[in-house]
Amino acid sequence: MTAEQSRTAAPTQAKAPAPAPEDFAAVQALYDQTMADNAQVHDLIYPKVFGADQYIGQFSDNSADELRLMAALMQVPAGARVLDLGCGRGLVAAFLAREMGWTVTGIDLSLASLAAGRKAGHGVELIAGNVYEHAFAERFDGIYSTGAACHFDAARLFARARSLLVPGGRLAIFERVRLGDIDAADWRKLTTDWTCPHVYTAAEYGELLTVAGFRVRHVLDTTERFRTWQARSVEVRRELRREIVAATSQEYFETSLALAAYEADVSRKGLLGYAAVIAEALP
Amino acid sequence: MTPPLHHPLLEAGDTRLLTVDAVLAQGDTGLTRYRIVRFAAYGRALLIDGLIQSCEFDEALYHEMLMSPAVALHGHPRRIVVIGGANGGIVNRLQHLPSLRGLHHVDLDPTLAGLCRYHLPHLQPQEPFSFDYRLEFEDPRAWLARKRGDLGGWADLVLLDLPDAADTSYAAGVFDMEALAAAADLLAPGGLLVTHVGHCHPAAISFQAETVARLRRLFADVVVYEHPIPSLAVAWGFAIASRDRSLNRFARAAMARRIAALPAAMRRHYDAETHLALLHRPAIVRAALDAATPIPVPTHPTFMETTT
Repeated sequence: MTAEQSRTAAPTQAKAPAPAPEDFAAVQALYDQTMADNAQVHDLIYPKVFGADQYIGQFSDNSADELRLMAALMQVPAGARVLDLGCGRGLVAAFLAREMGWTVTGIDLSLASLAAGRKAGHGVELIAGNVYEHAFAERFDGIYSTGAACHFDAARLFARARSLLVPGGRLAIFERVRLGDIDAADWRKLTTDWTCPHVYTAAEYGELLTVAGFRVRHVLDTTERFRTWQARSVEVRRELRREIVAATSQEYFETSLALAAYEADVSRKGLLGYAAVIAEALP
Repeated sequence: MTPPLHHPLLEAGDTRLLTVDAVLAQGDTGLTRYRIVRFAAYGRALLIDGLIQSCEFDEALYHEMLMSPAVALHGHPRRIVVIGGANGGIVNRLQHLPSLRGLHHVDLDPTLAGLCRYHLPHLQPQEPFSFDYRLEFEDPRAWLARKRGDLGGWADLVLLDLPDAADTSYAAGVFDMEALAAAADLLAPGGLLVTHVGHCHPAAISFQAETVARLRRLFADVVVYEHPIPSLAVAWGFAIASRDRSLNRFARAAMARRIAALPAAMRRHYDAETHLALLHRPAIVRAALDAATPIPVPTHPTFMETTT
């Protein structure tokens, strides 16, 4: 057996509406007002969801090992300049700067998240701003986004990312992906309610990357563990009910539990998954 | 719906269709074009250059047939070199060998190894190890050339767990005379080299014939055996080679005691009865090998039978 004869057809696409317009004022309000206390609760819950050695302050549904794997798949060398797009408190940026030897810059709209990150003093440069508008001094060798790309129109985001990368630079998107046909009520909950223009499939990300001048190098499906994390986040919330209520309120706890249970249910039904798509910027 | 996968059985003209439940990862590391899928029939599987390397359903069968007969034949390997296999399935079994003191391991692609650690956990060893373990990522052919001096005469067992020697694969460069000779130089007195030698389909067996012919030119004795691997749809061939001892004992009943002494993790599918069947090669395969053998096999100088 010497010839590459394996082949697969294009995957069947789940149907979805066209992307809605981006609304970054709403994204900022979500993280600075509606979810301002969320980081505190997150730090309580997720060491138990992922395991203490797997939680490094990430807001995305990925363990530290999954973030390491995404970074390894980018194949960006130590010393490279890398942008964390939607960095939140910058804790993933600090983690990957240590792990990979990268010089990481983080950018985010949320002033509350950035303030918390600066207070933590992890040494990563954090920029308050919109990636479309900020004038970066140099181009990057790599850009990644973990759990933040959902707030963007992917076609527009990838075009901007291409302009910020050196030729051969790598872009990694680690994000929720659509796996099945989502009805109108669920679509609203998964998009409008979270200020997300769309929920893309991994294949759609791949197609839009190609249009924007990238070559897809890797697609990594982490859906199996994502479902475990989702189910576990409901269990842990129930286990930590007293602590969560003490830190916030009974109303917050009930709302948070209902949202987590809803998302776990959508994932369990096979409508939502999680994937990393890593692409190379073509010259 | 994930589309089915067309998997080549032979170089050309025979392709089978496998139902894929999920594509877990796919891409190109720059060194390897890979796909990790979940087959409906065989569970999680790694494909390199479109060819199945292992499936969850029967990877234990494949890996045991590769390593367990050689370990049983040697009896107490203390120092082992593994070429390839960092994607899993080898060290997770060797780690149970009580005799093992040192293991040098080289493979090509650290990125693929990382993906396999994530998506193929059933193939991975559990650390910490009770022996000295050194894993390096480098082209195995270059590593063999580099280590030929330092590790010359070091290993009781040299185990080649390589992908198919496809034209696009680095493995083709490890199956040639020069690299096999370098691997042979790593062997201690009484040491054994073991490798797969490709599939046993009588319609296309030239790789096996050529590889075995090379081994017979380099080694004093070579034993070739085969076992059906369901997920590969054919029997697979393996060879054990020695520079300085007869391998006659491979066919002897005394092997039963050595097989029974193997760690349980190395004999889920390999027992004394299976061992006896390994050497019974079908006439059609023997005839195909005879017809495909490219060069006359020279008679090797006299060797001494050891008593290990």
